[in-house]
Amino acid sequence: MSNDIIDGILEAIRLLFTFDRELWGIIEVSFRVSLTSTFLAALVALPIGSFIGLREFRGKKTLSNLINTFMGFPPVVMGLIIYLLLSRSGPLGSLGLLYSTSAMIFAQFFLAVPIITGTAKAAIESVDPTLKETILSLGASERQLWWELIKDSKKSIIAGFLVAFGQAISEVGAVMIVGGNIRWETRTFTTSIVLNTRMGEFGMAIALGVLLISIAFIVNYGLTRLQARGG
Amino acid sequence: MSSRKPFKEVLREHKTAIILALIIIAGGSVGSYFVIDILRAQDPKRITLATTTSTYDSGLLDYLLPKFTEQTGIKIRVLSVGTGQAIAYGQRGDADVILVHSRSREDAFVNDSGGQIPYGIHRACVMYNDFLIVGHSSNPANLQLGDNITTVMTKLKLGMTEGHNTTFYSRGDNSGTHSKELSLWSLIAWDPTTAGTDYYKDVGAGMGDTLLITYNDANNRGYTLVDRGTWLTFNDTYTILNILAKSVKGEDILLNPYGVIPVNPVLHPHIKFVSACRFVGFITSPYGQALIDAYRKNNAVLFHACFGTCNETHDCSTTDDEIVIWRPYHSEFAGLSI
Amino acid sequence: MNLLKVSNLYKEYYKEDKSSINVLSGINFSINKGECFVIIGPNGSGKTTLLRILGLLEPPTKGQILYYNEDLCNISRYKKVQYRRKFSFVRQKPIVRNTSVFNNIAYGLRVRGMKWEEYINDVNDIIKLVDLKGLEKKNARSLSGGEMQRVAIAMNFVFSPDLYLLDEVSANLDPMNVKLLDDFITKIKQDKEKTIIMSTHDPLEAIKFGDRIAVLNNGQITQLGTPNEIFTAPKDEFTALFVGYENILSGTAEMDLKSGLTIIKINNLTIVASEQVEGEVKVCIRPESIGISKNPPSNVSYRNNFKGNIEDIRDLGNTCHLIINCQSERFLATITKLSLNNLELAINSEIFINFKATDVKIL
Repeated sequence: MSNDIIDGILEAIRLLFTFDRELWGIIEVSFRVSLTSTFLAALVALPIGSFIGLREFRGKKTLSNLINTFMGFPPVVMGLIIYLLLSRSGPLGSLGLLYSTSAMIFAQFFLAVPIITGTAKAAIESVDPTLKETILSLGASERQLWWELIKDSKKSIIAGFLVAFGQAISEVGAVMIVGGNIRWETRTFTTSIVLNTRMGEFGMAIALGVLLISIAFIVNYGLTRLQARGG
Repeated sequence: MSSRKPFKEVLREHKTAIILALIIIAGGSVGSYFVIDILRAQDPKRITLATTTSTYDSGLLDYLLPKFTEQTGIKIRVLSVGTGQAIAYGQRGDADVILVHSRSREDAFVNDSGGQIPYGIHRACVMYNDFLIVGHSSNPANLQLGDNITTVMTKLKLGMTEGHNTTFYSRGDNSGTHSKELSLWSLIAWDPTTAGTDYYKDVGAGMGDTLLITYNDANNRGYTLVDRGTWLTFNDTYTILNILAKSVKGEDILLNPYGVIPVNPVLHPHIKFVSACRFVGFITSPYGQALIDAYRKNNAVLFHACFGTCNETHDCSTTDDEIVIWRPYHSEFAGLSI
Repeated sequence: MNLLKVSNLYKEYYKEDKSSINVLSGINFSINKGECFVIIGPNGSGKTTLLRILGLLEPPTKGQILYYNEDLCNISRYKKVQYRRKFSFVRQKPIVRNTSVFNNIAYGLRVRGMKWEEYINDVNDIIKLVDLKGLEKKNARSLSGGEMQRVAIAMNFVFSPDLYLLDEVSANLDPMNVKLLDDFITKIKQDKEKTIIMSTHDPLEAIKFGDRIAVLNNGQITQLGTPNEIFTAPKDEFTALFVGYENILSGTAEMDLKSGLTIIKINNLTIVASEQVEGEVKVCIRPESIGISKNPPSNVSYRNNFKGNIEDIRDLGNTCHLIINCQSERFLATITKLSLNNLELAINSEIFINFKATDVKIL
């Protein structure tokens, strides 16, 4: 078994440096899908999350509980929902987007939105209330206050973004269902690992796993560096 | 400091406009990304094939399809799933053509759709391989290679219900292999799912995983049903598993025929029917059939081509009509040799 | 017309067990333009809450705050921001934003829509004034405590609001910065367009700046009046105990170059002080510092000696307060009961009072 893992690591290095077309294609698709979906999710979730964190309103607690629940939404179920929506027999079937990277972006987008919303909300809420009041009493409007708080908690917000990205790139259930694991088109790290395991190509599966873990490591390293940075 | 306005201050004063512009650019580029995907979905030379893991994972399609694309310029996107899922994709219009192995469900697919219009039209029999029963070499149920299938199934049943020395692992995933397994049990009029035995394990997994679970049986007494293609992929890895029963002469039930069916464009107007039919033409043409026969994995034959001859090798009840219908599509691939 | 009129203001907080506590109950007062209004009270009396409500940082439970006849408790979010920009709420523990000193100080002007060209000179001027030149580009949170306090002072005083709400602003400052802040407040006081409402628990500060003083205890204003009224005639025991008795006198100070002392003329009296000031001043002498004798004192180290009559004697248990009239100025002195009996003092007795020049505190 340990031989398999060592072979896998060697295979990963070999494939990377021989610029294996299929491997680099998989890396490209994985990053394109996960980065786009996380970025889009941030665009939507950041204003929503920070708004919830900023304002006090009726039903805020219920909404927060809902967001927390959706933060742990099972990806496979999300995949199934997006599949049923985009399927040719579904309401959005005429778009023909099923089994495309767009469909995968949709699924990961909806998985990432609650994560980024929740972290943005928590980040804004954890800002020292005296800072909020100081900014307000200096004459800031609500929008100006919002911008300042985002800037003040940017580290936590970026951390939330990275968590969502890490989830997206290592997620398998949803992208398998809506992407279909089509070679050259929608095959990602994770779906490729599943396929290679099923085909008995354990070396290749481990190689891809090693790469995925390396990416996770780099993301986490960035995260800790970010948190360690002063200021 | 007061002499020249720093560039940062200019940026700050136009912050809102800059952020809005960035959001519009980002939204626009992602929007156009989606539009490109929507347009690509309309491309008639790009079709989707839903097939079973056994054909894709064995490498057969990666070997066949480039040759089809070379001839026709049609790209095929392969969804490698279970037979049940592949048929569902066909029914919902998510695939243009399906290649599966479950005769009864294939017949249902072309004959009725629960209404008037059938889901698919003109099934063509493409190839077959066979199912095997594999198990640990200790073979507690004492299967013999010459046993006919009812004997095999009865021995397994007794091993589970009386000998308590036999564990059978079932795919349990509604796949072609799973429905084949259930039809084997029905031969001896016994339903293991309702028999209440602890020795029948429903694993709910793919073939590779089910083999792995059988291989890891704690008491070295696991059995499972496997298609030959998957078996040849793994037999070098799981060396303690052996073939303990296979099809005997004159018995078709363990044979595993694959049928290809284009999805009905009447039901789903977006189906790229012409391209789908050209694919069926390719795979049933003498050229395509020769390619299937020539395919080897680990130096072993995986599939036997059988279009037009399946009634000779096994009882496939293919009609002459089907042969007549698909023959015109062969002309495109005439004269090609492997 | 009143600038600000607070009527019947209540604030209730709900605790976790759903029980409520009244932080403010029935506050009424009004303030005129150009006035410096001081709210004095112990910690927990509701000073900060009152100022936060006036600064529109939290709503009252009920009540009315009229500012130029508009009820501030009942306005839109947008108008609230507009009013906040006319006010300046300076808090007890200032906090700076995580950005450069320059950005921190310029912030109040930026949010008011001013462009770089319009605010750069003001910002540079105040940076010079608070002695932060050269530190503009440093992150404000990386500064020392004292420097950070100066950033906070500068960012709150760089823009020019109509109403200043100062919440115990000097409580945590180091002495040098207290002086800096005092200069700012003094400058604002001179501008009759600007109004100040400040809270403090320091009676001396209240005397120094207050045109009028309100004593806040347990969420209620127990007394409201001029500093002299409050400190010489506390209405109740709490006020008396909290503010402490003080002799507060106003007059004109002149420096005596020969002796290096300051001569302060108060109506018919002349007091000698050791601090050096000139002009209109308020002076304060603690009752404990005043010595009493039946005969003219022989000790020359007491530069201030006056003859007077006892107007009143108040029994405080072990000690007594004597109200002494010296040429129409009233002094308050503390004396033990034992001395009172030994000296055989009674109302209308003629006595001599004395205090050192160093005991005269100039505000």
